[in-house]
Amino acid sequence: MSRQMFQISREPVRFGPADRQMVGMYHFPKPVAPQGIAALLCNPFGQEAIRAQRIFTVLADRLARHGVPVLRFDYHGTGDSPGECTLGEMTGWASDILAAQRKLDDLAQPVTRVWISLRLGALLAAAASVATPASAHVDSLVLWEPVVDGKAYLQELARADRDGRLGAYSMDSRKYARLASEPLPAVPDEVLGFPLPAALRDQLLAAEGQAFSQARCARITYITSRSGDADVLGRLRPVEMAEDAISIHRVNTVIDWATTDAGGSTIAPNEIVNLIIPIVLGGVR
Amino acid sequence: MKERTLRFGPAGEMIGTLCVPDPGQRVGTVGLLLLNAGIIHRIGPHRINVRLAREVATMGIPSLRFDLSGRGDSLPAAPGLRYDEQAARDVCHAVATLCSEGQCDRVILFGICSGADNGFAAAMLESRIASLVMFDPPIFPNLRWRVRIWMSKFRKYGLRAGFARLLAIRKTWVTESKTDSYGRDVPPVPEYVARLRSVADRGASIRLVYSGSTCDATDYEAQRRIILGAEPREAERIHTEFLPDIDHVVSTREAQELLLSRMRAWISEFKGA
Repeated sequence: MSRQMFQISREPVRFGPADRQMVGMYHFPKPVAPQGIAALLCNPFGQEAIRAQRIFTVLADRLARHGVPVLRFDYHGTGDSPGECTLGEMTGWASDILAAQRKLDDLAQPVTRVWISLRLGALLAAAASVATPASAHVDSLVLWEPVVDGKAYLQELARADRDGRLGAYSMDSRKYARLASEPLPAVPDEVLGFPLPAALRDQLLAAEGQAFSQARCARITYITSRSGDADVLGRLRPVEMAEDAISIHRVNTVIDWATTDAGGSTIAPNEIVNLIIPIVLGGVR
Repeated sequence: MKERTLRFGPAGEMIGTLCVPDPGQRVGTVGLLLLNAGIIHRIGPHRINVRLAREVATMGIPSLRFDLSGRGDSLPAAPGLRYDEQAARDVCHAVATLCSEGQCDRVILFGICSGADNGFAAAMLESRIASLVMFDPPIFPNLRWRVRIWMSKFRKYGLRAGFARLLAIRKTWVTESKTDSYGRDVPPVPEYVARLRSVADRGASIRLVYSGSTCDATDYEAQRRIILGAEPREAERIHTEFLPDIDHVVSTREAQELLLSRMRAWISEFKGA
């Protein structure tokens, strides 16, 4: 085992308003001295968040070893946090990002704030950035495989949900045939084992990439494995933001986030970790 | 109900969430330990461990859901042990933590897939483990089960890929001792059954629960006969159960509700025994 593994330092934290508590994991900068940069990791939704746990942990450890304190956390009512997932909705989760940043500010007193977000987390981060106070604005948004069309995302989840059920019952020919013949719901009320409450469904149906054009930050970095996304993402730039403040990185690593068929994979591709670290440290645009 | 995140283990490397009922609701001195399923962190597949923890808290029972060392939020353990030895040791530390922090003296373990295996290994070492709920324990395959597994692979991957895979392992697919239970290694049947009986003989109850992803009713009966013999002797504290409407990772909300309901029943049965 590498000597570096023993230099990892994580501390569980609980924070947030009394009626909206959350659980997180703070990764101390060690052994390198703090660089004045702090990173907040913003989860995707449901099964995608479960799948992201590993890479977010690896990424947080690696950033901490470069002197960047990191906070990972679960939105209220998700993951290990208090609350019911039947009450989940995007406005509340965006406010959770702001509460998490306040906690990170207390812990790390950063000069530069970077938010790294995945899938639906990207939309939430963009929405939350608009509400940051001037004294604690976010400097850089890293948006990895961002959801740019809520309606298409819902359909993607619905298809993944059915694929998951088919996989689960692939040994039962009758059940398999019945599941395979069921039409996909236009608007599902649960996907991949997580409920889609009415408020969340409505917000997702209305969600679109324009949210990224309204983000308030100095720099946006998109990371995508989808060839068709680069053009779309390139157009999603806040009006007042300089053209060179946006960058798009096309990666080869394709991860099926919305699957229950993990097949024992650990899902922590080096390509992504090695790309994001210099972005956070400011060496890559 | 109150929850608290704990560090524990020899060097504080493990992370767990202790869930304790409100003081007025506390009943008895039994606790529930919830184990990792595969690589999924301590919240469990589809957050089922969180829901189970909060459900049993309403019954007055404290619980600990935790990450084995090197998994989820827990740090790696010091080197020296094989993976399965380390996992069993970690579970024993978690039992001790639940007993001290949750003020209980007997523990029920709930594990899905590899969680069931790790819990079983720990039950050989730790006498405070009074009950084991093993969800999707290893399957001991017979010819019918093997054929169904391959039919499912053909269904999933198509005829060409299915046959290619089958040809590649044609010499071993009927005779190999390893099961195809989600890639897990298991000992030969007599050894496994002897270990089950040794845990039951020291007074622990064991419940082997089979999901609809791994069995149909015929397979389940075959497994039951393998584990319990031709004439099941429930008095030996080894029980089996088939839940066809729950899949391996409890994927639907309906399946989750059913599992929560079964957990309530198992705990009530255990407490009443």
